Amino acid sequence: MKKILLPILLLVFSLNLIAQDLSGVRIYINPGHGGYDANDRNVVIPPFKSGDPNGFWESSSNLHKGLYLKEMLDSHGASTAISRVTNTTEDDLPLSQIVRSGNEFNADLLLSIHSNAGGLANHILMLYAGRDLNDTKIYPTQPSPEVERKSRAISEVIAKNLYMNKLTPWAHPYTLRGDKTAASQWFGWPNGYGVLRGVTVPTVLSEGSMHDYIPETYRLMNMDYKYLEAWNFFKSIADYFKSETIPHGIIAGSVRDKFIENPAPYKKISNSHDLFKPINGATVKLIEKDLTYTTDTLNNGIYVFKNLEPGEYTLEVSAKGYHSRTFKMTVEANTISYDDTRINLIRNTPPEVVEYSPHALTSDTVMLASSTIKFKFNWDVDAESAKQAFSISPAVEGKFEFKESNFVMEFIPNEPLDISTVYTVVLDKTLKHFDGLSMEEDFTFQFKTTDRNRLRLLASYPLDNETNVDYKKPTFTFVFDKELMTAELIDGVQVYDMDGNMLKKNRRSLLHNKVPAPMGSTSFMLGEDLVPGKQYYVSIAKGIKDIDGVFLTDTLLFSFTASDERITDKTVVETYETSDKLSYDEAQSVNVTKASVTRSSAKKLFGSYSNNLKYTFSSSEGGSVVYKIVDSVFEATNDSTVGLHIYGDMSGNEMYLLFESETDTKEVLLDSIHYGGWKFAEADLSVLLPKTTYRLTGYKLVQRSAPLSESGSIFIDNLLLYGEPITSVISHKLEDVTIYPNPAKDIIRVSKGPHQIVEEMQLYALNGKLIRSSEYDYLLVDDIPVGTYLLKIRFNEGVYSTPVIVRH
Amino acid sequence: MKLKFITLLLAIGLVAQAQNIQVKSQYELPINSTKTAFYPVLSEDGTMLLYSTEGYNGLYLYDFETKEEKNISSVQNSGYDPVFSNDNSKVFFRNTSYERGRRFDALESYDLRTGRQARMIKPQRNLRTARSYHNGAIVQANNRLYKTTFGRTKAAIPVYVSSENLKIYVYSNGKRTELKPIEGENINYIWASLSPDNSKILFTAVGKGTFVCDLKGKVIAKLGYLNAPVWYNDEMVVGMQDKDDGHVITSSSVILISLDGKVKKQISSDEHIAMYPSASSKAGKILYNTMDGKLVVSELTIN
Repeated sequence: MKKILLPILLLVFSLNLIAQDLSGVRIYINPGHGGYDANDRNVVIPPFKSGDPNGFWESSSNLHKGLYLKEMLDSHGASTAISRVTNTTEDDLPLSQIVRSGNEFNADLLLSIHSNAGGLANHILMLYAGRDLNDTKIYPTQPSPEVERKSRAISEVIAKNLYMNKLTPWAHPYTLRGDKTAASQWFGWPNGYGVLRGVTVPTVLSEGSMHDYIPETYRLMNMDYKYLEAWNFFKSIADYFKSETIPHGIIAGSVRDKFIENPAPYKKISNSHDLFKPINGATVKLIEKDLTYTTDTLNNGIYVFKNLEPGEYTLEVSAKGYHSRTFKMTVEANTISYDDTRINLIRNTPPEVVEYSPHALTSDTVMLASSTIKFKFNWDVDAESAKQAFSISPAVEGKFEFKESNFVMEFIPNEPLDISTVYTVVLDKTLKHFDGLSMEEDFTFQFKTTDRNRLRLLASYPLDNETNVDYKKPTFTFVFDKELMTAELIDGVQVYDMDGNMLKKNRRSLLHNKVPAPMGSTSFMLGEDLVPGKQYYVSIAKGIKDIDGVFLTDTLLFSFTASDERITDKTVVETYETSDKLSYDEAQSVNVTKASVTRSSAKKLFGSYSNNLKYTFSSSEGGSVVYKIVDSVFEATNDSTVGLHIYGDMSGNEMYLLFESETDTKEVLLDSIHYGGWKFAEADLSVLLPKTTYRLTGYKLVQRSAPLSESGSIFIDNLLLYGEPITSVISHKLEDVTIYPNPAKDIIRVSKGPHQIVEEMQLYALNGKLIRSSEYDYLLVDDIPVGTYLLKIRFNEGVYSTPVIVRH
Repeated sequence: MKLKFITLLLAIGLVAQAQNIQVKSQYELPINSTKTAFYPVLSEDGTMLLYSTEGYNGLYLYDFETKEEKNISSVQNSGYDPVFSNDNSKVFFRNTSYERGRRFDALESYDLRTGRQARMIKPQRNLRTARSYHNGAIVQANNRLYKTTFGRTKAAIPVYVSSENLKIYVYSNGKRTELKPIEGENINYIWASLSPDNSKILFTAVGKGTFVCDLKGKVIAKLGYLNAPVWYNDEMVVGMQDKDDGHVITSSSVILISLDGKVKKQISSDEHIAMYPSASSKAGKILYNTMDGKLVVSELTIN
């Protein structure tokens, strides 16, 4: 059995009987959960291990609040009952017993005390028996209207008082919800929370704060912090039952460092005092009462002085290594006076630089041109004086960031530094820390940049505006000029539809750096099929780095259109289901180290197999490889069209069809293979001599100057022969539309065809929210935050969508 | 009235070792007056049934002979622990009101033959559960025991058991005695009720289980985890074994259990979250409501 707190509480209140009249008011208190078991909530915070009963357990926290409240109410004449006074599994009561206890007690209020899980969304949630005010739905079961109305009224009084707590930062104001409505909307429960079902008395379930918001977890380990919540319950009950006001007041505060941030890795609510380091073991003296409070060792800095007569009090705060601070606070009856108590570290030596980068050993040592310039100091420095003290030559535009509570200053250039340049950085001695001492002398260093300052994309599939991306779980590949760091690639490269919905990637298909060094790459297969005819885009986020730390300086966007590349309504003259239709023709090839033709089931578009054509050239240019057709029976004339399904290798090499007649030979360009998926390529044979019959004798791959041209592997499937070219009859209504500039700084304009009329331009955030619209053929973006957006343009003949980047 | 038979097959296998107990039939009682029905209370002879809504808002009567439903009252909490008079001619129920946030309960009566309603006790703080007495009722409220009848009577006041501030009190022979049947501090008691023969008290010690003690508080049966227990007869009780996940009830069965531990039988269908049973041994009936507000009647044969 765990320790019972009643003896402590009796001491707290034994000398504090006041004129508060709650005589006869009946309150049933239910401290939620119980037992340090699976049905409890254990939030693990150092120094406690998981499952340690001395750590944070919601059951324990709820119990402490409940016991405090019971003692306060009993001391002021109320009749109370509590569902448990210990914390064992046996105390974790069935909901039916809790409800019955409240009913049988004839309570005027059943208060179920809980805290909630929601992390950074730290706020108060009051659930009362019944429905939301605006909810007119009839639920299968409902409390009586009177119970619902009173439950709602009490819950609002409690919420308002709890919200006055300034020791915790609230992420947003309190929430009042009827349990029927809330449970239905949140969890799909048809009939609300069990502890609020079947109650004959006004009932409130209080979720007082978020116990898994770690700064709050630490606060909830402090008994006096829990006392404050109980006091707010007590005040709420006194308010609601219209008793006299409490004649005393309370001083409560938390001692924190004035400037130094809380170094603990857990998240803190932005712009809140939780960002600053709580001071353990600080001493707070209440001079007029000769009382001393020492803050605990659990990183909350909390101090509380209770039962104070109204008036002005003097507080003196001190802690080892800190300047003492004395200040006044006014205590009012029936009120908690809060203070965000900040104290300042004693800084008794001048500031100096203890580390810096780029740290060149000599002025000839080359450093990354994408470097940030970083200083670490022995003290937290005054940001404004540090900015003024900084200079770099040649001049560079950039921004400052201060980290680690101003112990670190970074200068981040807006653009990568110039290549092969010697820079001189100076921090002059005017730089000072918060106690006003300046550096004793200027700090200067130099470094020289490398000959490369940004990551460059060499090849990609899809290319921007690609219109032939086969819809069937396509594989996308992006090749850069340097081997990539892989950590940021999973999230940094994403595919979206034009509504901003991110498409799933097949995580098992992720491949990185599978191209010849020094290049780097990332590729992945989509986890879902695309919709033929629909437009999508790929985003490669700014900041992706190579193994040297050189990064992509701008977000890259590639829009593309999905299509079905399978042509099935033309005459198939070869299926490539066997491997004996083609062979490598070494004699006709040039600068080829090796080449082969094999049958493949791994990549196929029709039937069971395709043919895989592999090749390696012996140099970076001038090569060509020929695959001859064995026993060709293929005959074509100059009014024919030849089509072939090709899975490309992004080499940029060109594929030719080789034709022979009795009197002539011709090489007809079929396609430039820049793509990395299936594509249907076709060649118009009008270049053949008229009235002459040709045989297709083979395929020729001609090496072009491109990053991936030295070796490759393509797949071919179903060769077709027909009359009218297919692509000539495909209509792209909005193909003349272009957006410029993109990225845009002030304005986005539209270039369009002569018959196209812009009816409306709409700019959407990626979450689908409409940011701006225009009835003209331009749209102002000068005041729109930097980022990636979707631009939709409604023309008289259709809608055009494209991603755009706003950059000021 | 068309009765919906849920399953007769349930009877198979429901044979106790000590006594032969069979669920002869089990059916859902079609309720037309309210969409859902909760907290059934059977008359002692099992011919009538009181029920309410989940919020105890309103009180309704079902007559098994005429198969008629009647709205007895719509007042607040009228469905909370109503009682039949000894001769089944009246129903006593509470009527809740509030003053400065404080709750007051009056005791009302409804004459089933004439439909006449009468206030038996004006609004009081802490009105406990009433017990029928002569043609009226006795009930504890506001630190005194009220006796309220139609006309004067010299009928002896029967034993009365009351839950006051979650403690058990017995009123017998003009004396009020607190019982502490379970050892330990801070134990709360709920669902206390007197056996039909007035010799035993059935109760639940919160967090400890359900027990039966004599009128002096000596425990004579430990029934284990059993909520909302009611007497079936002097030797057997019916209750629910409900489970929850801390937020909502996830399952519940209605169990018939004998004080000597020789009978323990599930009465409810596994298809139901079965709660808040009521029983009449004279009629061989056990009723319970399901989580979603259906009333299910089980007819037993016990040999």
